[in-house]
Amino acid sequence: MIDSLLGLSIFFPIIAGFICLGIKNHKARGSIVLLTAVVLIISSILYLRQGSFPIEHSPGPAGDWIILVLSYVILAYFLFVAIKDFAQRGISRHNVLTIALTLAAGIPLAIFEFSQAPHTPLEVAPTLYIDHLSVIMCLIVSIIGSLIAVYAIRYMKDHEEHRVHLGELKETTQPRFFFFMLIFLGAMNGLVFANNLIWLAFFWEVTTLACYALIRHDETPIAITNAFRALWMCLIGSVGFSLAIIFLWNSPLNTISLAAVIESGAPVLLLPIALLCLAGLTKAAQVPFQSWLLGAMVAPTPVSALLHSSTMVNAGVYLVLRLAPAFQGTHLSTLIAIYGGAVFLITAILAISQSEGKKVLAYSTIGNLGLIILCAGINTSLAIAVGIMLLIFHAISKGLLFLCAGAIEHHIWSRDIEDMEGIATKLPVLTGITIAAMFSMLVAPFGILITKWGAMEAATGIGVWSTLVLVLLMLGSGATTVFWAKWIGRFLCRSPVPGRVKREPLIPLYHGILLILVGCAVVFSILIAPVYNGVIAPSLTEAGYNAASAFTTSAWFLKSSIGIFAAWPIFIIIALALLIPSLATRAKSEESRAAYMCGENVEIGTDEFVAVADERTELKTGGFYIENMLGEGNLNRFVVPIGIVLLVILFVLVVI
Amino acid sequence: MGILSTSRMKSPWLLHFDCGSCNGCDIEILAALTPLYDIERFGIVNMGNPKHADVLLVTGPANHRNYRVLRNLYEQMPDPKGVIVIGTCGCTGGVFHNCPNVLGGIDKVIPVDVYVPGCAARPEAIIDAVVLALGKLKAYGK
Amino acid sequence: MSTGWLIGSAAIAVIVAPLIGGLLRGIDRKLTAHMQGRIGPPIIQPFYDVIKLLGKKPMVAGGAQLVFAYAFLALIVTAVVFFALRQDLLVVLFILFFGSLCLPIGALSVKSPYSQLGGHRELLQFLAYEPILLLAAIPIALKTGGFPIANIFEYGQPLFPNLWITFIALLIVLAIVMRKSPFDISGSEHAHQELVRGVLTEYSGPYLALIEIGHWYEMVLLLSILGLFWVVGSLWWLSIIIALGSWFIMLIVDNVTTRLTWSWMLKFAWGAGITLVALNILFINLGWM
Repeated sequence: MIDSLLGLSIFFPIIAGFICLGIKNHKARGSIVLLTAVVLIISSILYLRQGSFPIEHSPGPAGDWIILVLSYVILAYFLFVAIKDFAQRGISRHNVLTIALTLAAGIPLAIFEFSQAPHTPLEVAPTLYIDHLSVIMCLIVSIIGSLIAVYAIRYMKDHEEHRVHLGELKETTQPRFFFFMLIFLGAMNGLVFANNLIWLAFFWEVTTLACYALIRHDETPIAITNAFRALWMCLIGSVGFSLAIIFLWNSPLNTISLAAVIESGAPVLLLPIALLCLAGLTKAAQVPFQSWLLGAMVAPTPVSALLHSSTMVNAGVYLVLRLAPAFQGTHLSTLIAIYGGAVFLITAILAISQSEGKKVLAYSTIGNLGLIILCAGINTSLAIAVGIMLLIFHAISKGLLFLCAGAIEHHIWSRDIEDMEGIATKLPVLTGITIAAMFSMLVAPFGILITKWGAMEAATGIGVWSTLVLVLLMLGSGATTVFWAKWIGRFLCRSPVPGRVKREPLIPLYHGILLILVGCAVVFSILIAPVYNGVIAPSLTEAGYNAASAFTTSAWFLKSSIGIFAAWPIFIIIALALLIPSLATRAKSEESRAAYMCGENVEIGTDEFVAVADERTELKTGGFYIENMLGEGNLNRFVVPIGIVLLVILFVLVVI
Repeated sequence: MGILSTSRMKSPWLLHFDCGSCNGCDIEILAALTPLYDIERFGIVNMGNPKHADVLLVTGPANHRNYRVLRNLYEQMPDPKGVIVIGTCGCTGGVFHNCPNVLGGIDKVIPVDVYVPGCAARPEAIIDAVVLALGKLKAYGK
Repeated sequence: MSTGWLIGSAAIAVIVAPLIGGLLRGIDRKLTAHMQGRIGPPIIQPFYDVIKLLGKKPMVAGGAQLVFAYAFLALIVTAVVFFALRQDLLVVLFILFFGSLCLPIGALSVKSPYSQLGGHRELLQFLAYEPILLLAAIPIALKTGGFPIANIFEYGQPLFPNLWITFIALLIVLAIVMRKSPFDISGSEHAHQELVRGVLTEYSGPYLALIEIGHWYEMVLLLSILGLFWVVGSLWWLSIIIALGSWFIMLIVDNVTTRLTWSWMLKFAWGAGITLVALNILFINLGWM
């Protein structure tokens, strides 16, 4: 049973992707994607019923050979595209770095692997390792990822029509798009189940490949540049993998089984573990690598939703969370916590200054990933539980927000927050879902607030450095609130209009998927206690933590050793506080009055006032972005060096 | 209701609008707001915002340019409200009543409750006028 | 603490807190007037104001305003209830912040220049005080072994002797929340306007009354948090003294200083406030306090 489930999770999407590559018909392709979605969702849920965990599975040496060959094929492809770009556009930082890093990743590994003959490929048991943490990731990838792929069916159709209309596109490129999307889903599932580090590195490279190809999809100059930027930064991670594999095989442990490495916890293994964490950090676009994620926002929105908020960047923090038991109690752990907190604060401040919607979402993503890394660094049972919770809730909420941003973009054809002013009257349902999603990132009783509360409690009383971690956490938390509230305000900002607001026409593939996701966000937040008991507590136990010292649940309350979160009473009270006024009160039209403009209003319902020489002038309002103080131009020259310095300290600490 | 009408009487918030006045009456109004006369002891506060105000204090005559602003401000005040006109210019147009751009007194534009003649009106008369207007607020709805 | 007692105290808190809040606001105006050489209104003036506002004909500048005005009051009352039920202090603060956020979001939902400016400044004000208030919960938890407020009572000793540094930082928070000079930046007391009435410009009548009552609850909640620092032990009545004393110090500061800029407020709050609380946490972690 387990091998058929694994086959469905990993290989079915890949095969479906190849099929999509060949289909020109939009409806046929859409049905393949829909079928893949259904298969993935069902198979991922079935994992939960597979009896006792952890489950081990090894496909055999044939699989090892295939993976070995394919990983070099992919590296060769990276070399090929970099050289082609070099030939077409001349020398640039990006293609040079791509070539250099591909060679740095591939050559040492090739020399090492083939010098180990006749043990090539290296034997590791087990190849695939399934425990609750992998299943949680598989559920996130399969359910949220599939929903995003289904959304992309309609989105890409509109996107291409718009580009044809603008004269930028000649023939459809959707087959290629869905090919990469589907193989990405398969590769992510493979990544979370892989125990053999060579398999893990291979799936990692496939996700990098998909990331590069999907960012590049529109083939505009800026898309190509940003795709290469993403490529070389993720390749730093691949170099880390190669070096780590070489180290581990030559270490006293003599294995590249991830589970064995984590269990042993020997201090000499800290360097390869740090290298693997570095791979995770580059994939999660942490400082100083954040520019690739921001640049990736030029890609179509389903790409941003799938790769750059809910799944691929999650692979990075998943790896750090999985490795956490191995560096528990070391200086490395403390530094990782401080590093995560610093990323959280820096990105929150930078996000206040951004006026492009997707960039705000990107910074928020990096910040929340930094928060997960902070939890991994604190490394107590409570902290790891909170980290896993944040993984789940952030994937749902951020994926949802990107999809909402995409739908809004397809109605107003702009990504700028200033152009979204007042669309609550034109697109009430869509704006309502988006505002609900933003509230779910921000306030009680939703999951992300629970994780912020949990992270603060986890960071208390764990030593002198917790002071710094807590300061970063609190400052970051305040800053995130500001930019979300400002964006919500911009949505709602409009002149008083008497009368009711009409609902816009609903599109099933947009609004249906959004409603499902926002429903998930709400339901999982209320059901936090059963979710914790069902999947998170077992994953803690399997990793060697004491689940009872993280949270205990009673009557659906979450209790930690130092705090209580009464999930459902808070939810009911807040729902009543917000729902009753919005449903029971209705402003009557004779009660509407114009805004105060010193009496110079023209009439109610218009934005105009009478200005100089009795001319009717339109009132223009805007948001605060404070770019001169908080903007990228000002802060990036501090941010990137800070990131580099912290990472250097990290490696120095490990070597000492 | 006793307590509601008492509260209306005890807490009149002002909006002061200079409609075209020479500022003579405005200076007297500001004098009434200073610690010497201390009208805050009657609960009177000068709010600059029509949406928060109960009593509109207007000075100066209405003319073709400012009657629209005056009407906007009056409409943006929620009921119950009262209008007090201060100075002869506001009552009847004063020395400007025949000028081509002047419509006349404020009552040509909005309903007025209390007229305070004088050029300029004295602070004691202004305070008397506000007390008269309070009586009207207290009787609102009866 | 039996559940019945707790629920009873929560009910009493909900009823009594606005009365205390309004009375304090009235005494505030009276004392300010005397400091300025005037007589000032009677101390029950705020109640006259609110009842008058409730009796005004409703007027809205946008449907979202209604929802957020009600939500503001409802959520702050919820925070007071959770505080009275001695729940987790961080949870109480998060609910309070959700409520406080509803005010600027409601203001931002109206396209009016004053409302927009006021709303944005209110968000910056929030950015200034929220981290300090959250961070101040940490030394309390470190001392009492947990975040539930019930722990403070079980701890058995007053917190002030070890946490006075945090207390001073919380005074900055109190000044900002009470919207007193030099922090009355987003929309201040009656006679001190800068942007017409800033964040409150477009609210009128009954909805303004709801917000005013919400402010009373908020102030009483903050003073109660200050009072937590000496609420246990034989000198428990000192909690009332330090709460009211801090409130009185805010009055004096208000009358002595003038409004400053939001960038100064951010730098001061983050600089002085965060540093003070961080020092306190550091000293507790090092075992010095």
